[in-house]
Amino acid sequence: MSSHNSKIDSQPDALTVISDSLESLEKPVVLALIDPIRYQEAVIGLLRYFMGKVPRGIYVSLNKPYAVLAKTFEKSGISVDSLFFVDAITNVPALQEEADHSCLGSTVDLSSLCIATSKAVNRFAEDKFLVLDSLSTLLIYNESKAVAKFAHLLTEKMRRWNTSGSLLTVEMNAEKDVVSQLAPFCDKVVRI
Amino acid sequence: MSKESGVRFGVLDPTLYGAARVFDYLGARGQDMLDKVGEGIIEYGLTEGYFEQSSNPHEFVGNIVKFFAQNGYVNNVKIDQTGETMNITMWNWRFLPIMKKLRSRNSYLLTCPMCIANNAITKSAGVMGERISEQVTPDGMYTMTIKMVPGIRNTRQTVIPLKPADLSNTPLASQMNESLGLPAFEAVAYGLARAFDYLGAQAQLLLDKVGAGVIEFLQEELQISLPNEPSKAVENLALFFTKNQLADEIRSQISPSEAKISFTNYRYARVLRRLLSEGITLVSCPFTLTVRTLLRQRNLAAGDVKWKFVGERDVSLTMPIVRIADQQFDEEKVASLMESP
Repeated sequence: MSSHNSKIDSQPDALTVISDSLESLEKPVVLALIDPIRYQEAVIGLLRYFMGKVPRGIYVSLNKPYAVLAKTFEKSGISVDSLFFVDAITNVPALQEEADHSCLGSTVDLSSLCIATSKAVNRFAEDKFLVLDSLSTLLIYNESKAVAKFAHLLTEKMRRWNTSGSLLTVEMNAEKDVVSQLAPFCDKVVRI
Repeated sequence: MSKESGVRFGVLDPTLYGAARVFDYLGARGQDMLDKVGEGIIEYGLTEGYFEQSSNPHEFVGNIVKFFAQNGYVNNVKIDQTGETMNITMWNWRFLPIMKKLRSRNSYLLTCPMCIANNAITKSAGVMGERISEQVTPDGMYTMTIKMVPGIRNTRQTVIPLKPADLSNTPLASQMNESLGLPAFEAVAYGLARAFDYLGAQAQLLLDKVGAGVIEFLQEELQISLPNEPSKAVENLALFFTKNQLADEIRSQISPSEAKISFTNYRYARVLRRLLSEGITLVSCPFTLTVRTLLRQRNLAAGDVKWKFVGERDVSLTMPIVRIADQQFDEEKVASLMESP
């Protein structure tokens, strides 16, 4: 078996894809459809893109505890000081609110998630963006129609709050309904 | 490494079939996801001392082949290389029946655990194998000719052979009652959970879909009856997985709000213990995944699994169950609540 070190992989990095796709948009509300292989790269790319434009971010995580995310982001050179995490996965007996995060518990329903997100957005007066990671996780416990309604409401609110941001969904062949229902309400569907 | 203490192919084969079906929608990129399972297999095998690492990829591949041969997954593998071209011949390769079934669905993804582990090794050396041709003899000797090319991602050429084998004479279900060594089963089960941990909780959606493939396999190939009544269907699944040695006994209690399952001499216990100690809560037990999917197919969503060890290999689990129809989302009501201070 001979070894080759030259890489033939020449696809553009996530940040380039995002920047190119959103070039002409002022405060985009984006549906990010992510290749599962590129999930981590895509999340970092989206954060870099929005952080380059807006000073403050709200990161709603249904996938990984905020402590894990904060470490991962820091490792990638992302300053977590400007992020507020809404953590809907860490197991806590009751709602916990701190300066940089709130923990809702791992069994949060869609309504409570909306309210907590709204609360987090209202904490900060300055311009901000919102990232929801991810719609796919919601599909584990909810039917796609309910997830689409939730996402629709969130995008509507994002416009009212004058907030840019992205709803993430990992390409899993399960979220087709959500994507087709939600795409018209977003400025752009970005495939990463 | 005794084969007697292992599981039957009746557990592994539907799982491997299910894993391939999950990633079919991604085309060639699906193989990249499956090769990640290969990375997990390697990690498990190395850390459990089942095989040794080598800086020489050829030797490392050889160690993995030996491990799978010892565990009854293949009788023998012969690799001949001339320049960039490699001929790989395998005798009694246990993936053939699964390959046949997948090909009948026009799926070319490879979930043979030995192959995906080896893919992970060659990839890390920046090399991929373009599949040129395959042949199968009536007595089950399989030969694949590949051309080594630089690369780190799969392409159509690395997944679909230019000249695929005719598998029409390959038997499909005959190995179901034969046994696979426990270390190989454990490595696959660990690899499945470890591979997708980077995706966080949403990975469970992918893993649950393996269960959908398992159900498809069991119904199509083994005509397992899965009645609409959840408790009866789970009971039938438990009987099947017990017969195929995933555990000596599986007892289930399904109520409208909770699933309680207990396993005696559970072959997944060691993997589970390790995953939990590593903070990985994803479930990759084939039976549990299948139960979760089965419930979902009956409009019930299974929540987070809570495990309890009652002995070295005796384990119980509880999962909350919710009726999906009960999870309404009232957009207008929530919208007004969001406006409240």
